[in-house]
Amino acid sequence: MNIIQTVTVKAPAAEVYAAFADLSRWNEILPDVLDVKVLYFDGYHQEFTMTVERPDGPETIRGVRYCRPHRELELVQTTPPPGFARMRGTWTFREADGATEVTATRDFRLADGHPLPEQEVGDRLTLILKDNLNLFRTAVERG
Amino acid sequence: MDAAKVMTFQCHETSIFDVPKETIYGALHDMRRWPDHLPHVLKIEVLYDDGQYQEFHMTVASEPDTIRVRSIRNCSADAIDFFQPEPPVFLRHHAGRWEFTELPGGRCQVVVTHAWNLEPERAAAVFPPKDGLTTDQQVENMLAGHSRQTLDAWRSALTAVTT
Repeated sequence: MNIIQTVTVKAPAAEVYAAFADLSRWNEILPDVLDVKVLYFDGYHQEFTMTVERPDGPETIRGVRYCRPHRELELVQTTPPPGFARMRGTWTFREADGATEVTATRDFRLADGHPLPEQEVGDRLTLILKDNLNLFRTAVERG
Repeated sequence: MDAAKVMTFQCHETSIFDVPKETIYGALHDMRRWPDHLPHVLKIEVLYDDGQYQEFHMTVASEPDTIRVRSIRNCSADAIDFFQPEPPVFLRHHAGRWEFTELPGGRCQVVVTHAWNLEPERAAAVFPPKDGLTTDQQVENMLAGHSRQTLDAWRSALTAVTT
């Protein structure tokens, strides 16, 4: 299932991209991020782990991002969250008139036996994605 | 190749295969079957595979001992990009690309690119200047040699299958 959310940030694309690309800033921007470790980064490929707080306890995912400044970050979670067989997506950045439109997409598939319908999970993920984009917008615009 | 923009060194090897693009692409994409095709590939352990993104450990025959590498790949219609998040000690970064171009007559051109940054001190220790070749040149020769050997191995394997 695919979901998509967009936010406009009043800042140049380079600045907005930098906030999303720099994983060391994520636990300052997103309150549910407990820990981030970058395992490999060559300037383009980035492998990392991220631990987030969830109602049933901390969850750790492992991911890979392909970093294309200042236009796109491509993501795959090679260890997706519990209950998911696939989680991947992109953030794209388009600057116009001094602001940047950020579009985040996610393409996910539930693991066999997931207790919730896919649509319900998609709706929840859409809200999380929207909240996260707004948190990034606030952080970047605050400077 | 996007990765080449962040790497100091790169090399390319090109080969024409007398098989259709889908045959060579399919063989390269399906890493689970590599040990059936390539004698030097001893074992593949798939960690993740959703068709586009793949992560696996590959154990290859070498001297004095086998080598086990972890590779992460991003597969599109005409290319397979890869990188090694835990490269050999003499490389700081290592990535590459297999690029496939359909040719008339059911043939396919394959270009293999390796791109890398050296870990200079360790590279100099492993490959000290020798026979007029610098450390950089020896690493390049080694990786270009690997590309040629792999292309030759695939040509042998696919010719054996299709004739």
